[in-house]
Amino acid sequence: MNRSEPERSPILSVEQLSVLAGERKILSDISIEFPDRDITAIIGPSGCGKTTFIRTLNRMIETSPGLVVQGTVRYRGQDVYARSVNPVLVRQRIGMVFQRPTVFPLSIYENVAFGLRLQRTEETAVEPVVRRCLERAGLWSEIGGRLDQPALELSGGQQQRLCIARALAIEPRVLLFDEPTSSLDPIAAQKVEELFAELRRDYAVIIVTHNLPQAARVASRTAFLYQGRLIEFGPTEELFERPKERLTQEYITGRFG
Amino acid sequence: MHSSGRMRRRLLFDRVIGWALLLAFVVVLFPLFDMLYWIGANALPTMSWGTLTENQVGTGGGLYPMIQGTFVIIAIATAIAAALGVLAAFYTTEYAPAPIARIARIAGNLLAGVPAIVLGYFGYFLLVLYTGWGFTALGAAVTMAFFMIPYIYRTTDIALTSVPRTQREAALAIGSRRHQYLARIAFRIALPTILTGIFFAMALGLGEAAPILYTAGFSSTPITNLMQPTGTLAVAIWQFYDFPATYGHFLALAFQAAFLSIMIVLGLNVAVQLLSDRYRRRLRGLYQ
Repeated sequence: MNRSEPERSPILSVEQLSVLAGERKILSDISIEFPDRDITAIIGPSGCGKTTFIRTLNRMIETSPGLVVQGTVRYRGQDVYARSVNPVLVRQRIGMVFQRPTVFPLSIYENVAFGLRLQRTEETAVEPVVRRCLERAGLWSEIGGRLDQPALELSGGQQQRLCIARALAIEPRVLLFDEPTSSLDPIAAQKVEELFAELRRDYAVIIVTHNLPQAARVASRTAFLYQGRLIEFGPTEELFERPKERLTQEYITGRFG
Repeated sequence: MHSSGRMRRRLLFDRVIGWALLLAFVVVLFPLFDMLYWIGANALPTMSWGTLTENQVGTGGGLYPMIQGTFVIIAIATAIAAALGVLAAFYTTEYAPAPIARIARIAGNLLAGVPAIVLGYFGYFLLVLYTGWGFTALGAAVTMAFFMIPYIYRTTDIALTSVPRTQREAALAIGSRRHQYLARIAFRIALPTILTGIFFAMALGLGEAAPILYTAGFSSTPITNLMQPTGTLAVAIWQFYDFPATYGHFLALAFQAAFLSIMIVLGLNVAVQLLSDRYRRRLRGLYQ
């Protein structure tokens, strides 16, 4: 198989996924596959179910009570909702970064080390990981000298990149981003965006965004969600330039949303 | 001019409101300072080092046994109440199904409303008579713990539910189990408020005489173990205040006990402020 080709065996595959809140369907019948070492963007107007959708992928959805998940999500072929599967282990494989930076009220070092401490990693093994993750998140040169400082004192953009470093530390295979730059100023947002090119080499990255230019810049594939349904999914260029569906066309040309 | 008349009225109104608020402030604070002065004026002239170190003998001596009893009972009660109250609040906010959490919160409020004397009587039946212990410091500490628990429970519950949801999400998303989130993140964020709750419960407990009178009785000699009748400052006030004026020294002891109680509460307050400020400093920026 040609390695430069985008078609690779999927790391995550979703089949007929629905999410119900009582009688109401928040997501209906979504089937989609995510390739490894690639970036997929999920776009759609506010309230279309983008965030709910990525929260089903690492079972974070179960932390909000009252929602019922139907269908299957497979990580490397294994059903993540199977009875025998511990959601904690799912979240260790499938990391997540939120819309607003969510650093813990700990030092910079302890933030990155947090996930490792949960797994009782040996102290000697923690330090090199912290350094490597800060380097990968482009923070080492900025804050590598003051790791004992409270993380809450960093700027918003640095906090968000620290959250990325923290997610990387437990060596996930998939990274989910929920509007990762929407709370940041343009320069900080650009720095986060530049990280994506670096991350795609090792991770399957899935980004929810309603910033269409961002999707076009970073993602090789894009999915368009509308009212809980997957309307269109394909290579980003095709979706933006030759959308097959009228709804997609209307959304990307700014007629609604 | 028409509008300037209206303006003048408004300025006058502003000034009246300012004076009214100041008046309310003075009315609230005056009795406090008046009481402090009254207690201080009656206690200080007769106080000496011996008040803190000597036993009460006849109509003379000091309050050492009651100071010791107060510290022993409040310390044990605080340890029990803090452990149970904080853990129960952890359960309520993180593990309890919604209906059970609702019932638990109502029950907590109810327990806070039970008069201290009823709790004392309950302690008397259970820990004095039923166990056959008689009047003991331990029985009083356990009774006092149940007096303190609702305050600690409620403050901890409020502190935990006001931890930003995003912190919980972030912790769970990185593979925390719920108890790990509670111990490493939520507790850290809630700690300054929990400390304030514990202090508040201690201050209230220090002032209560009824639950201790029923369970520890009273003693004017220091205790050597927890299974003896024990005096406290609050009970000492009750004991000594009621004598005829001819027993002047008893009255002085009552005022001294009141003065010491207030000083202990003040000291606790300062300590808790310093401590919770220190912990709160680590949280700067969290609520932006």
